[in-house]
Amino acid sequence: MVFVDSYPKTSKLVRSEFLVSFIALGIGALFGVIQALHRTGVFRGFVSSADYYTILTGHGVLLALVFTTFFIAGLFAWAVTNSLERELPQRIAWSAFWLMLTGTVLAAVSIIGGIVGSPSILGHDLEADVLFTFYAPMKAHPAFYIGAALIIVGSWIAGLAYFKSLWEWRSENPGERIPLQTFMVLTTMLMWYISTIGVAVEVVAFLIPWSLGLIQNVDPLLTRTLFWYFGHPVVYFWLMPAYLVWYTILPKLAGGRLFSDPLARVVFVAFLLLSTPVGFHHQYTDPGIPSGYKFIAMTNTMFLLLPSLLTAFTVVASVEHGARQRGAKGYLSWLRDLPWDKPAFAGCMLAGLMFAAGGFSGMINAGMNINYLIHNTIWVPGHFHLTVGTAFALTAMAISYWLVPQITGKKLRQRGLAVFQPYVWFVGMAVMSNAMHRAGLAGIPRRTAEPTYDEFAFEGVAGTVGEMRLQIAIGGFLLFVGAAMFLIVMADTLLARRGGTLSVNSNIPEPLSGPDHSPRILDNYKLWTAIALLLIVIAYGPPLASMVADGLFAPGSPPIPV
Amino acid sequence: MQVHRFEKVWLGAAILLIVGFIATIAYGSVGVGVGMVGDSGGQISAEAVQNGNTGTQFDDPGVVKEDGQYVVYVVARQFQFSPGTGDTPIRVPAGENVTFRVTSADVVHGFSVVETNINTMVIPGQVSEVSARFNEPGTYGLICHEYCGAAHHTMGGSVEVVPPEEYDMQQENIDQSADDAQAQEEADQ
Amino acid sequence: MALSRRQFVGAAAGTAALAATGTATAQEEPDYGGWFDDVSNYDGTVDQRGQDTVTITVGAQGNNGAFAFDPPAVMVSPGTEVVWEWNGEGGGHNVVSDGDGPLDSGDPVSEAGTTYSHTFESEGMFKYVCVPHEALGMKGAVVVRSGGSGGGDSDGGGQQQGPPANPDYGGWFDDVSNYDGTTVDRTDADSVEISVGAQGNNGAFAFDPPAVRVTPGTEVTWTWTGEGGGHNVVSDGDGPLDSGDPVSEAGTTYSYTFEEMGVYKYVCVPHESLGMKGAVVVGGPLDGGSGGSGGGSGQEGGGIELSGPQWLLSGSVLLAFFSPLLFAFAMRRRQSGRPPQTSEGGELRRATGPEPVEEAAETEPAVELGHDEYDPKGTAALVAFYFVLIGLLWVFMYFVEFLGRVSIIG
Repeated sequence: MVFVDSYPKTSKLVRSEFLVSFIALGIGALFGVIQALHRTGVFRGFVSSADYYTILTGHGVLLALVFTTFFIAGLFAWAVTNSLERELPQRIAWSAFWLMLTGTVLAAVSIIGGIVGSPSILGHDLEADVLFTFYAPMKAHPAFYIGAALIIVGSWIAGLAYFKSLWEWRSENPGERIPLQTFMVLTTMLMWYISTIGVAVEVVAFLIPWSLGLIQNVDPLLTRTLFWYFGHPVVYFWLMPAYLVWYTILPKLAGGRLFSDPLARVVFVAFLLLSTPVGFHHQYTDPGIPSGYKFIAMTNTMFLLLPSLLTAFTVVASVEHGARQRGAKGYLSWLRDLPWDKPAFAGCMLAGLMFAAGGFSGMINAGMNINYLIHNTIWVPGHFHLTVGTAFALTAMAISYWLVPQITGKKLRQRGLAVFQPYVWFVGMAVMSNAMHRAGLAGIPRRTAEPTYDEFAFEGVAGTVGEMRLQIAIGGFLLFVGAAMFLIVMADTLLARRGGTLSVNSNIPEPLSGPDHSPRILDNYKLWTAIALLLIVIAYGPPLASMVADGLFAPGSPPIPV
Repeated sequence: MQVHRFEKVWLGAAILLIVGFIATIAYGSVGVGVGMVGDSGGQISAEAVQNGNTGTQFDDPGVVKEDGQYVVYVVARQFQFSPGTGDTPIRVPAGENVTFRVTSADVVHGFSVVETNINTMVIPGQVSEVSARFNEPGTYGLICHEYCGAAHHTMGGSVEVVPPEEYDMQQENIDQSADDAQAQEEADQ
Repeated sequence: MALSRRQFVGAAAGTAALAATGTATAQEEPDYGGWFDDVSNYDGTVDQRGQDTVTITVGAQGNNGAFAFDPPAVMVSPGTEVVWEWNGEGGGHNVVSDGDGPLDSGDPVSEAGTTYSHTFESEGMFKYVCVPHEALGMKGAVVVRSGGSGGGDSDGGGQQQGPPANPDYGGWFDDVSNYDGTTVDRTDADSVEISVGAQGNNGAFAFDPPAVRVTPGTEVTWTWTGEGGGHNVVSDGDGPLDSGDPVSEAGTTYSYTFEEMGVYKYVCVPHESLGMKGAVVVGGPLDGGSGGSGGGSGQEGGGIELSGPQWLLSGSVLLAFFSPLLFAFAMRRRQSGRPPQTSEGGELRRATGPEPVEEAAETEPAVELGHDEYDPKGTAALVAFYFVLIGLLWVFMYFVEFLGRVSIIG
């Protein structure tokens, strides 16, 4: 039976989460193309350069925070329900949704205030040109911080719904291994709970009272550090759901079986342990942090490469298994015997391929001293558009082609567009991102509306600066087209009539190496959480202690509104 | 737990790669001597920097000579570097160790000398202290690469590296301690 | 020179009193031919005739930063010395005539306190720019015209009636959030109190009231609220107000008795950039005046403003938002009436309830490979290739790109 008929209530929840997510994707994508055209000088007619930063804040928040969180909430709701074969506790799950949505609206309104003249609301200017990282002492309207806090709290409650479902399932199935998809969801949520402590403290204890004028100063270094305590693990909050898709669904799409369930569990436990104590690799060039802690963060980060490298092997092996089961032979020609005309499959594969490239630029970012080469240049957005922008976003779009028919009971419409869309995205991203990487090596900065300066000129490393700018504009435009194609497919499908025979099948075959082959200790959440917290105390304890030793609010800065 | 032998080999290769990365970075650090920005610059009151009454050289930013070392004091603010922006480039001699001490008068800025690895954050309340040695004369661009407000994209400057023979402290209007002035005169003769 | 000007002004005061205003509006706003179209802090021409020296701030807030002359448009009498004074903000600035003209302060400088002056002898309109920030809108104009009106803060004594009903602050209050467009009239009081550290500008960074009018001879007392950190009261440019270094204690006071008519702008120095500014208007209001546009508009004109063509941005957002739906609706129309296909024709339809739907059939693999029969050789080849590629790229990036550049040592 189709998922929508087996679990109608959770299907409605997933549809709602996806709807918010896709709306955010649309607006965020529009902002993205405006940026691409503006900063490359191709077309600056949409906004002034000062308002560029409002658009940039909107792009970052809507895509990296709203599109991702809501999609993941929907995906996880499906995954837990599907693997535990029971509806989620509805009251908890829906209150989470409404709380996150309220927070989103608050944050979005405060951001948009910046391009409509920043009217004064409740004594503060309604604007939030502080970008996705909202560093103090730049200050946004209090509604922005309150909205962010509500989104985070809402996500905590969503996690509670998954755990409750597990506990109910466990009481009915004592002694059984946790199904893989649920295991992955819960590991991700545990990592999320641990990592959001940093940003929750930053926002609730410091930024909200400070923006309201209840406290005078905050310590910019401390608040920055608390943000990056969260800011790195959040990328794994995006990546692990993509891995969930690649491990549990992609093999079936390829016609094969997951190569190893135990290794998948090991990978997820590794992320739970290592995602957070690496935050200082975003602060390699910060003053006020002794270099010893930076070295520890570097080694932790390098070892965090391991679960991703293992994933590469396991996932590709599972896909190859599918090709072999179709009868393919040869070392590399099996790649041809795969369903590249199926949008869900093609999207996931292209996302994975791009992630391999993004992984490399990430290794450079992580390399402590070599970070100097590219810190805060446009290389960094080049990197993360490959990772969150493709590995996550393209996987999300691809799996939507497979999942949305099942949660709506409607056949996928506009199949022609759907088949091509992943390729359009891939080409656009390849063009834009590689130009960004090269421009970064030339020193061109990120987060800058007009990267030309009176005092000097940039020199291209491979190709001229002008060529790189043009490629960024073209690539960005293609990405916008890709996003539009996806949204058209989704809109047409959502508005279509129910019924008929779907072109997708939900059965997921057993892995080649199943859960009974994996040590039970892997399912011991309490143990892994304890170790994760210990590692965090080691990595963050001493530096945070020295930052607060001279006062929680010292050396302090008053708010500077932007 | 069964792990396919191919995957075991890959696991070994992956660990080798990771160790190789760490080793290269350690070499860069210990062998070549690339230092990370740390907390050696100390702390300072951002408000005092804004008002110009810190009681340190930040009240009159520029190049000075301290204990025989060239030190460049730079104040970053919305939206310029002092010195650095516009007609007041940072001028330093080639072939000498130069220490930059950079702080902010207001929000978080960046300080990046284009086409070099001199790249640091500038956080109000903290002083970023980095040293470098320019071997060749020339002009380098200077940018603020951390978003700092509406005119962030105008915040740039330049660093001029001057051949040491042409670098005259007096001409640069640079402060000197009395002892240094004496020593300089004698050396010039 | 000064004396004859004063005499001339005094003689003209009578006629001027009837028709003059603080700005040049009554005498016709000069036609700048669009010169100030992109200058955000332009708010009419400030009439400063009848003064020996006129000060223009270089680096005032405007044009999305400290990229403005304040006031940008000023009218002076022949023989006036105009002094441009740098406030140290906005980077390097200069004062250079547009086209042929007498003004040229040289290369851009940024240091606060720098001055450049020029004495304008002949009548005319002298447009000028700050060269590096001209594109942002940092432009100004000096109109030299004989004739006179009130509104100066120099000697002139009782012959002048004082500043007009709506003084033209020349954009002074553009970034002051607690300025509501009105100048509070306290001309009935012997002593007037202004609180320092009132709520405004995103914190306790305001003077309340920010703009107040008093009669000559009134003592104005600033009283600290104790909030917002250290504040002071210092005249903008030349002026008599200076309460000293910033202090924060509640109950601190600073007083000044204003004898001369004029508009006295002042700031709290550490919070000037946040908008902690004020003005005391001494004398007036002159009747028959319609000032500039209500004297320095507040933060926003009260409506919603969009930078860039309004229709373009809001249009694209709405279009982007609705286009997938519009497209889908268009597709719906074409396909309406065609029922969904079922795998076998003629299935029984349910009388009530949702349309039945079923999944595609599961596809059986052509070849079944179990755990022990499968060696991922292709994967091994691919990851081996990746390993070599990453290794080579890393070596190149580290040793060629990175170590090939000037680095931070120790």
